[in-house]
Amino acid sequence: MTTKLSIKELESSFAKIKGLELLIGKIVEEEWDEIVGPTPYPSITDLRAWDHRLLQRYEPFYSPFCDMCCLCTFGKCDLTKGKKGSCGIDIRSQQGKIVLIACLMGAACHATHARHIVNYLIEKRGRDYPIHLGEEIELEAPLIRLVAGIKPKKLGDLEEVLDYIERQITHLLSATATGQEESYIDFESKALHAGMVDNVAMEVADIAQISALRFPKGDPDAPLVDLGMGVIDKTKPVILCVGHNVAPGSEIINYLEQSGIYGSVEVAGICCTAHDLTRYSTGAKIVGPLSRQLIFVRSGVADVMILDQECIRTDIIDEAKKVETRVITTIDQVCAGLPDMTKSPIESIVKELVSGSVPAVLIHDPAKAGEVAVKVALEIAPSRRAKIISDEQEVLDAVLRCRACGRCRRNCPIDLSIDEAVYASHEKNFDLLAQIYDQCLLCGRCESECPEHIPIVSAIRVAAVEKIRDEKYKVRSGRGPIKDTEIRKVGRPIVMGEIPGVIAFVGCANYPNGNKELVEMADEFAKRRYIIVASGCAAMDIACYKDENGQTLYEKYAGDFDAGCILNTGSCVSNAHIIGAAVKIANIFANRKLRGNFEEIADYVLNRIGAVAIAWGAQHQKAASIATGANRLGIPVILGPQGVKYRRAYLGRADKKENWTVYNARTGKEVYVGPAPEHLLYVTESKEEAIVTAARLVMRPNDTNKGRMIKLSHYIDLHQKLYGILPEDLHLFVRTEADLPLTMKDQLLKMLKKRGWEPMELPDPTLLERQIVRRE
Amino acid sequence: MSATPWQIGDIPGPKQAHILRPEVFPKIVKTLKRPLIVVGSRKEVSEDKDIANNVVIMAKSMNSPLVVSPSIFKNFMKFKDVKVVCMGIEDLVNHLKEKEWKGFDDRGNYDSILFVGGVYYFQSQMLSTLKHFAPHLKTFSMDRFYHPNAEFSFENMSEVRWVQEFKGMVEMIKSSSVS
Repeated sequence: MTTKLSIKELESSFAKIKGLELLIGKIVEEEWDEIVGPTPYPSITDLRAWDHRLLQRYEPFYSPFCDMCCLCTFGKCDLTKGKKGSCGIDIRSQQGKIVLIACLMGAACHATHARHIVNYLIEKRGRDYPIHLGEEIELEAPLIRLVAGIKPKKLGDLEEVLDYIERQITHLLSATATGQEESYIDFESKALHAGMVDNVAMEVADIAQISALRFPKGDPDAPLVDLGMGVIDKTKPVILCVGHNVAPGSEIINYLEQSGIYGSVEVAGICCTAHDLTRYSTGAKIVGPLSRQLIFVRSGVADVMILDQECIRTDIIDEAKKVETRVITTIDQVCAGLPDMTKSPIESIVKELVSGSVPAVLIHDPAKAGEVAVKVALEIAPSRRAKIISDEQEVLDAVLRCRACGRCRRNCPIDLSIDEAVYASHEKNFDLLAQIYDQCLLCGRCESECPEHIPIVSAIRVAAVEKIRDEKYKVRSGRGPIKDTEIRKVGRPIVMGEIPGVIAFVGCANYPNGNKELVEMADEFAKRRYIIVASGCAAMDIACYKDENGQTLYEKYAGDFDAGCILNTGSCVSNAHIIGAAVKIANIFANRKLRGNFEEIADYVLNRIGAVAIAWGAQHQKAASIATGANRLGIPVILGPQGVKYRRAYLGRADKKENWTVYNARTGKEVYVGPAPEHLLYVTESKEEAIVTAARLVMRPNDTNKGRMIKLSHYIDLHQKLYGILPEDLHLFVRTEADLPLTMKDQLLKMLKKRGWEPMELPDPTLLERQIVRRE
Repeated sequence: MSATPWQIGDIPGPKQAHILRPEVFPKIVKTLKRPLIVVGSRKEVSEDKDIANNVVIMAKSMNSPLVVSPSIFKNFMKFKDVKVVCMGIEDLVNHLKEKEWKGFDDRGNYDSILFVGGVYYFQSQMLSTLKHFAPHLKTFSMDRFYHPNAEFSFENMSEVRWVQEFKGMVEMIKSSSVS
């Protein structure tokens, strides 16, 4: 952060000064002539009015997990039946507080991830290393430009943005303490702020690593890489990276390359660090999403496991020890009670790990951790492999202890009939257990509840061993940002509604019925020529099924940001490019100014850009903060049924006509535009509901007649196909007869007339009074 | 009486559902002025034609509309002599929690909501919303799982027992509505 000192005119005995401007802390080379908008580096309250406007239309809807507040020593306080806690809080505000805390956890994860990776890259390449995302990307950092109001040119410029983010997180966290914020609406406004800074942090992390680690730069033809538990070559030493920070994993590859042995050691990853490893080197492999952690580690395939940050099971080191996998943790967020050997000589760390006298260590230095990992893996792999015997018999013996008490099912997050499957194994029937594998989250809650201590996850692995062996898929490596040229091509058809929408599949692997539903959803929309984007664990799971030609969706569809394509932006932090694409459309297509101009751009996105995210298996707090940030920018998010456990949705009420007016910027008149988009954050119970809801939520007030007709065609068709009837709410989305799909026009018009439908005006929509050009 | 939640960790706090015995419910039905039956997307209920028929009989006997989770609406659209509404459950609950909501017939909100066939964890959270923010409603869980966030809930029971008791209960409701 810089301090600016301005002296217009000063005359004293020692000097005469005129027009002096002094910036302390940083030399600013200002090359961006865009006028600074109203909210550069917005404080907690700078965008509060926008938040309240959104929250008035999309009211917070709470589903408390717990009736009580247990956050201070006054408690536990019972908040049922309208009761207040000792501090005066009621259940609504308490839920707002919990939601804010969750969003802050997520934002803090991305902020520390960004700080770690920026520090690492600055140390490696220097502060002046350029931010460069490729020849066709001039708008390199839409979210940073929008929120911070700066145009980052070098790695060092990102430090200032991170300072801002960390300051906001501290201020917001302070508001959650007892005796601070009291209003649920303002808790939500703060959650939206946390979400926004989260999104900026993601962009910081990803543009830094794309630039300095030479990841693909918006390449639609980013290489196809291997994914699945079956792609790991077990004859080689295997190093497994788990988490999100690619620094230690990239150093493993560097060391292997320097030693001339890359290819003779398998480097694989689980969760987002896996995406980023393949962006760094196509020789790396993806085991799968975070849900594969327990089952893969138990297989004993990994000789060494490197842990960095986020989404790491807290029992994974104990699990690794059981199969003699050596563990190196590398980031201060995950010290895991391990001895810090950062300053020890490499050879002595290797010796300790190889002998097993210290099976797991903490090494804060990514390069050192990388070298140690390789040396240990090479040394222990041959002898270790000989020792790891198949545990099949042990597992099969264990299932015989099952008494069908059913406690496994009752502790399963998604209520799978595990009890029946395990009990069926008594008769040597493992088919049910193998079927469970397709749906199971592999979290292990079932076995921690089992009174007979049956290793159920291991039993599932043994039952599904052939399926696991066949898990060999291709996923397109994360391409990072959307090119400016692509935005120029599709900006207009998206804003006019002629491309029916952009559907983003994002989030974790906490699915209600396995990952197949995700694949089906993505395929459905791609066939209909929506633009499909994906990131994180969802981007991996989209690859996990092959069609009749043996192709995954990434092989079937092109990787452009265009109608009927499916692209993978990359890891969690690459979500920034999905959200950033909406901002880019506003700037590149519509010439809206970005610099510190959040409210206007959010208003543009909400009213004009038919983008919707589906977080079908959202689980982590990061998914909450990412979604909440997208919501502040006007992008609706649909959650799968497990998403109800976030405890808060933002729901509109289609029947309250007064909530759905906008200003017509051309006349200043308030105009009813129908509930478009109807919700900002909505939890669906089934795949079918998610698909139809997405087709509805892509509608925007700005759609042209042709655009709305295309969107309605899909909405009607999907509604009929999946629900069996025409939509009952059609009258809310038809503005004029010209919106109606031609083939059904007469039938629909008759139906509309029965409902007393009347044509609506098509305005130049805005929620901001200051956007009104002229008043009539 | 007390019961443990079907999902062992689903313990919300001091306010947990009263256990409802299926054979007692038909007597309670007479006290409900504007009931609404909500059918969730769990396949064990919606895809069992016999159960679906019984749900419809219950709705008819109680003069209640049926709100059906969209993914299973196809299984219920054939029933013509009962009002069947296709609506997302979260959207529905958002309407129900407003006391002044006009309902599906413009005659006002309902006084009692009967849930059946919901995905356990999803339904639990919907019941939590109503418990905290809809004091004007009574909520009943008619599934084979004890739902602590309902006001009244069946206790945990096996599938076989539930089918038997549910059908018996519907028969009693039907008989008493005829008489």
